[in-house]
Amino acid sequence: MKIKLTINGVPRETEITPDEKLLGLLRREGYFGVKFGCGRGECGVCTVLLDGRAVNSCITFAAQAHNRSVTTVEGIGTPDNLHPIQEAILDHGAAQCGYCTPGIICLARDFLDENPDPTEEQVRDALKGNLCRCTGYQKYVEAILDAAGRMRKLSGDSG
Amino acid sequence: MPTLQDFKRPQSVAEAVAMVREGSGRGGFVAGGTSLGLARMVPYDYLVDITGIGLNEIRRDGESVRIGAAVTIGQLAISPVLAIGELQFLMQAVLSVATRQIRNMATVGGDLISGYPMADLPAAFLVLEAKLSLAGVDQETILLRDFLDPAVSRGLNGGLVTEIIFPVPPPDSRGTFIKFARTENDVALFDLACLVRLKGDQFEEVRVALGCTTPLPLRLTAMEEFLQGKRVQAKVVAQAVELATQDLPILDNIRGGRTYRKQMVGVLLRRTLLASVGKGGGSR
Ligand SMILES: Cc1cc2nc3c(=O)[nH]c(=O)nc-3n(C[C@H](O)[C@H](O)[C@H](O)COP(=O)(O)OP(=O)(O)OC[C@H]3O[C@@H](n4cnc5c(N)ncnc54)[C@H](O)[C@@H]3O)c2cc1C
Ligand code: FES
Ligand code: FES
Repeated sequence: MKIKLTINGVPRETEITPDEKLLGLLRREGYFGVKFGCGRGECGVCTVLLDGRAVNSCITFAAQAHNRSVTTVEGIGTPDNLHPIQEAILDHGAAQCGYCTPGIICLARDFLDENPDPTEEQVRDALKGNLCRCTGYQKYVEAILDAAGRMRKLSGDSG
Repeated sequence: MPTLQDFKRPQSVAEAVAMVREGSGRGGFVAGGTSLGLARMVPYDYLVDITGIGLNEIRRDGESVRIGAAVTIGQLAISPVLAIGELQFLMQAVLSVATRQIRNMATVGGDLISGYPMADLPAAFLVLEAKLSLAGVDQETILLRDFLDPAVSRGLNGGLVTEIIFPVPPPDSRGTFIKFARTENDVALFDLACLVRLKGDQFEEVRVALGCTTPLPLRLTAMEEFLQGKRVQAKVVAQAVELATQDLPILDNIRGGRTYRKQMVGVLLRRTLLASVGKGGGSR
């Protein structure tokens, strides 16, 4: 079956099977920032944004993305033009092996959109669905809090 | 085994119901898809998506709240309609469900009725005396409490739950919700929801529901009736807890054995009741 969707701002039409997951579709289309981990909605490495909300693409049917917009880590910033969340992760040295990083960036994007000025506890709570085997989370928490500050500053400057 | 062959997108409730009906069992509804998407083999030939048929609103209707069945759990968490003191315990239940990613997809209808044994919302909606609106079957509404019995819900097969409706609890009621799990991230060992109204130093009305530790989520009616009109005293609460737990069918599984669970249910019930009348005892 055919679906229409927008991936990182680009409108697309693509052929899928009804049982296919969004994760498979995205990787097939070359968005390798979307990782496969548990395939059960538990580890969060497959997190992408669906109409701006973080979801586990491994348990989302590709068909559910019809007429909606999908954002992967590739659509959040580019190497020349990083998003403040990505900058903060770099500055804090928050990523080690980096396998969990794209998912955490997408999660943080959705979370900070809803809560631009979170407490540390709220950040820790938001990260519940993203497992990281390397870092112990501390630096991610610091980076996300810092990113929140950078984003508030930017939106304050422009508005 | 058939694999999924189609994913249909109706525009209205009537169309959705007709699409499932014409398959005589081969088609099923899909809402957030977090449960169906997890299944290695979806038990249907085709799915009928109910997220685009107008079941996505939360509204206050006089003294009631009406929640569309396809509202996501994440939407509940940020709804101004639910951000009132009387429903704070419901918000705790909402935020205790899984992770942000799951809450962004999973629907209220799905959590309440998919039969997922560790669902956190049923206990909270049970003390709210929620009822469900149905489409596609003769019966138009049913109490959540009745629907949770598989013998009853099987009889309503092919029916679509369209709305969840409950009366807003009176302003002087105090609600509590506790999810008790092995770790912050695990599914619950126990869910406890409690709504209490006092009159002077007496219990005027008590509603208590238990989730995740009995085969089905349930209201503890013997305890509720016992407490009504009784003085608020630790001794009375202890008697009520004894009454509630003596014949309770308690699960025995890998997360917790029966002996442990039985003892803990008592402890948590006592703490919840005492906390909800402001007598301390801890909130966790
Ligand atoms: C990793 C993980 C962790 C989880 N942890 C928790 C947790 O901590 N607490 C918790 O409460 N839950 C938890 N869940 C369960 C999750 O909340 C449920 O999967 C979800 O609520 C189901 O809703 P859905 O909309 O995604 O259902 P779907 O997958 O779309 O549907 C599930 C079933 O319900 C039927 N259905 C759905 N809506 C309707 C309707 N309106 N009318 C008739 N039939 C309908 C469908 O036909 C299907 O059979 C977890 C799930 C996962 C994957
Ligand atoms: S791969 Fe999707 S949550 Fe683990
Ligand atoms: S940096 Fe290695 S898993 Fe997170």
